[in-house]
Amino acid sequence: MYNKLTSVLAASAAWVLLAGSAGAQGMDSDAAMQPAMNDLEIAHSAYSAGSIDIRYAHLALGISDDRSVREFAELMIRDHAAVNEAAGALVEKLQVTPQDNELSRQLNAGAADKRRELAGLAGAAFDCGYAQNELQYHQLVNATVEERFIPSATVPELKALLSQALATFKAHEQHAAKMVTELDCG
Amino acid sequence: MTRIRPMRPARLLVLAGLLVAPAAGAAAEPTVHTVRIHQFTFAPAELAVRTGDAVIWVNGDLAPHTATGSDPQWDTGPLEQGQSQRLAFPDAGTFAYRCLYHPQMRGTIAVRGPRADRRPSSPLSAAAAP
Repeated sequence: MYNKLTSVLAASAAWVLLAGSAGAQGMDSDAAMQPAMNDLEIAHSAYSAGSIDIRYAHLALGISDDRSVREFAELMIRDHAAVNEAAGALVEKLQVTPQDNELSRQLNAGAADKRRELAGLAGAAFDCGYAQNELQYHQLVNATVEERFIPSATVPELKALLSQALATFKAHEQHAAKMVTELDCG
Repeated sequence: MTRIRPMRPARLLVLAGLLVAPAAGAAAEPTVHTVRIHQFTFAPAELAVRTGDAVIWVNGDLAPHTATGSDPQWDTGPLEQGQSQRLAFPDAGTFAYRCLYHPQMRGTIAVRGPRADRRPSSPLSAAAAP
């Protein structure tokens, strides 16, 4: 029981950092530290991660005037919506209900904090804050999907969907890195 | 004993026409090439075709993509997963293209001619074909 609780707390801490990337540099992404998740929990957390990035993007469209930032935000909405739509179709096909879980809750709570932080910024400060958060967020999400979700998933369709989603998220990570460089955020 | 009569020249011409006509018709048919979009790449990224040929882009990714020529006259438009679009290339040239949404995705269609049996009205129209 103690070990399980310790694991959940460790995972939760990681996901707090994942959701609000401030301090994410110190995150221990060792998958072995994190509790096993079942397919329904993985589906829920993966869907939550996509939805969170869509909300970051809507915030960017509401605040930023920078063309590259706005194009990136539109891309995030388009691509994550497509991934989540595919996830929804799979859930419907399998006739299952994704399970809310501690990681999803922590992820959403951390993201709410990060959105509040970003919403207080404007101009170049917002653009850099958003861009850097997107880079860190995708780095951490990608590591989690690749090292934890995909190995743990047991339903072949879910595993395949996660693999396809990972290709999308890795492209986003590269794009975000380029955006950070071009914005000269220092 | 069966006797074989020599064929008259007029009949030979007709027969030759029958033999040649289908071959000429076949040459007019465009070849259709396929570019698969997979994991944010066009495969093949570089494709050589002949004038009048067509290219079909098929999106296998979850994310929507486009194949959009540097010349904005041609564009597949958004392709959702599983969707495809066929474009014809009536004129010779080398045409670079990219995905509008993911600019790192790039490709080239090298069109060698001549074989413009059927020329759409617009040059480089890569016009959407059914």
